[in-house]
Amino acid sequence: MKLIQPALLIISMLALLAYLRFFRSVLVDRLLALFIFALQVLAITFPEATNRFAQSFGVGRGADLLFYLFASGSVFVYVLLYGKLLSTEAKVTQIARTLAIRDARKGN
Amino acid sequence: MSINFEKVWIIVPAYREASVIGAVLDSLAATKYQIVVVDDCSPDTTAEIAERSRAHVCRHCINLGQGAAIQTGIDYALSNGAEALVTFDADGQHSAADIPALLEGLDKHKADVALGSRFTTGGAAHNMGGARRTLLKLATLMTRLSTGLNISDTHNGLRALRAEAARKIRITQNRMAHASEILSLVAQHKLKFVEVPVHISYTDYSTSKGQRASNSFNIIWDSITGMLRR
Repeated sequence: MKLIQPALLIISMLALLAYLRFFRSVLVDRLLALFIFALQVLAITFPEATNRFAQSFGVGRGADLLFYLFASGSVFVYVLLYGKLLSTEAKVTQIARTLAIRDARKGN
Repeated sequence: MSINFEKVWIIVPAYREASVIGAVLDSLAATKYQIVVVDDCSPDTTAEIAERSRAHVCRHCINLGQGAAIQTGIDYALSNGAEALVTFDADGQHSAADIPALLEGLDKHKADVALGSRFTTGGAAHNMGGARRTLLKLATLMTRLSTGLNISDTHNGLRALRAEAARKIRITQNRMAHASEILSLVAQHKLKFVEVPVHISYTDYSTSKGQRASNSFNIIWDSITGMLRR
């Protein structure tokens, strides 16, 4: 085992624990997180297997396949976060509006 | 249904307008309409000056943008029994003398919305630069294509709405794309509209406060993401 492998395993484990502890509590999300973690462990422990898997999709190396998946996953995350941002902005706007109307003052 | 002019509310969204808002409110105070100024968290004395007039003043605790300020004014006016609402910029571009024509447009044509137009017969835009004129014409063309409304002007902040129409028009575009959003909602709800000639006076102050041509991209971006949200 190369030095990078245990380091990556620890990082993956910490990410999974943080996700389960602080973020999602829905069962489906937790199972999906566990599934992704299992894939990470396999990919880190058996890098050659990812090469063979990638080649079955016509991609030269496992690292390339992971990069493509990461890139498309990132776009999904950006869209998701932008949606959350817009939704949060709408809520903040409503709070500010409610306060402004509640505290309106009539001039002289 | 004819409009009770004492139940007409003028909505004035304002941000950093301390140097001009006093004069703008003086011109409106001479009318019989109700006035609500929505101060969008100005760091200057805009709100304090507004409170010295007879206007009602709502203050946003954070800066949200002109679209959000107009919607706050609409909500406030509707909750105070408004029968018709007029949106009016705080930077001195608009003339209080145009308001009766807008309301008459609603009344005479039994319209839901009266849109002020600089470019229709009888309208005028004083001291408007050539680049701005071209940009506005392009924006109008785009709006005509996207909404199907036969209009001669867009991004004109001077407009009047009946209360029933104002309830249907819910502005979600907090920043400058609200002008296009309002027109989209007019088309979506099949509201009856009429264009009324108005007079817009550009000054060095209003031009420096107004939209830069480079901001057009932001307006288009907000419009597209807004459509995705709906």
